[in-house]
Amino acid sequence: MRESVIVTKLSIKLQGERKHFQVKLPSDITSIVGIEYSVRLMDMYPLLPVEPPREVINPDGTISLILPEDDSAVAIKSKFKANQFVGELRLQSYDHMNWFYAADVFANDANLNLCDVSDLYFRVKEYTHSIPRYEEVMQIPGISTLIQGWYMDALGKQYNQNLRYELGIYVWITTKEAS
Amino acid sequence: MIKTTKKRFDIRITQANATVSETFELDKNIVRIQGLLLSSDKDDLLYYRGAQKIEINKEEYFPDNYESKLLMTGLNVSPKQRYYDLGGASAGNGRVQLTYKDTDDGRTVFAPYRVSLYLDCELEDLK
Repeated sequence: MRESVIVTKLSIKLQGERKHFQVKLPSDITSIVGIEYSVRLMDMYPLLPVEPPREVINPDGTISLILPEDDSAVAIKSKFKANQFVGELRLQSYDHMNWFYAADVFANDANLNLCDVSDLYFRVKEYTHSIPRYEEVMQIPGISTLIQGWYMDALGKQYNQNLRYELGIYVWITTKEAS
Repeated sequence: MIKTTKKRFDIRITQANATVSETFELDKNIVRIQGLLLSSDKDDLLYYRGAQKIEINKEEYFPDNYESKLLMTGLNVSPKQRYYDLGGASAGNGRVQLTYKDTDDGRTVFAPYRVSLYLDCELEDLK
């Protein structure tokens, strides 16, 4: 068996855009063994709304206000943020009923710096502190040479504007070894 | 006896939205490539803007448009686990081709940068 990856790029331009697409697979395919995705934003990243001060309840019951720019260790611990939701992705193979892959697509891990006190001096970014990325492993045997896909944008909808970005879908497959 | 060695090959990206292709030659006694890793002097540009094709011994391991961020590792990963596992790819003729494509991204401003391809190689001890 030989493992390889098929790259499919979707260009999203409109808020709430829904896309139906197909991924063509080679004729000697034996199974789908993994899926991964990535997001490349083409427009300037939208400005986030001004963060209000957060309330933290102390062990003695008193309430402290933490300002967004507060870099103290306590403030960092309370800065848990939701990852940026970008859209919904679903894939279906002709060899099986129903979706074989359904995922919420997120742009990044917004909490890489959570509880990392070194973040006070060396800012934690996704390109400095991220872990190695591997595909989501699965085993979808089949011989059909087409995957049907569906994607719906959520990023543009959230910011109520048309944001252009590219979604990369990587389908890892195994094929018969050439004899 | 099998020994391991790390190899580094660099390319320079001097223009935005450019594609740069280069073929590197491995030492003759390298028999297998266990893993690879991408790095840069400007990590943010490589992470957000980069995509590449990588061929080893004329066999395509990562196709066109495979994003660089998927082959990068952060500093908080222990050094022994930083390489993407290729499972012992045969070095064959020893030629490694890297075709790198830079693409504009809304989060970065272009500046010339270096892309480094690190290979974790197994070599035959000739003694």
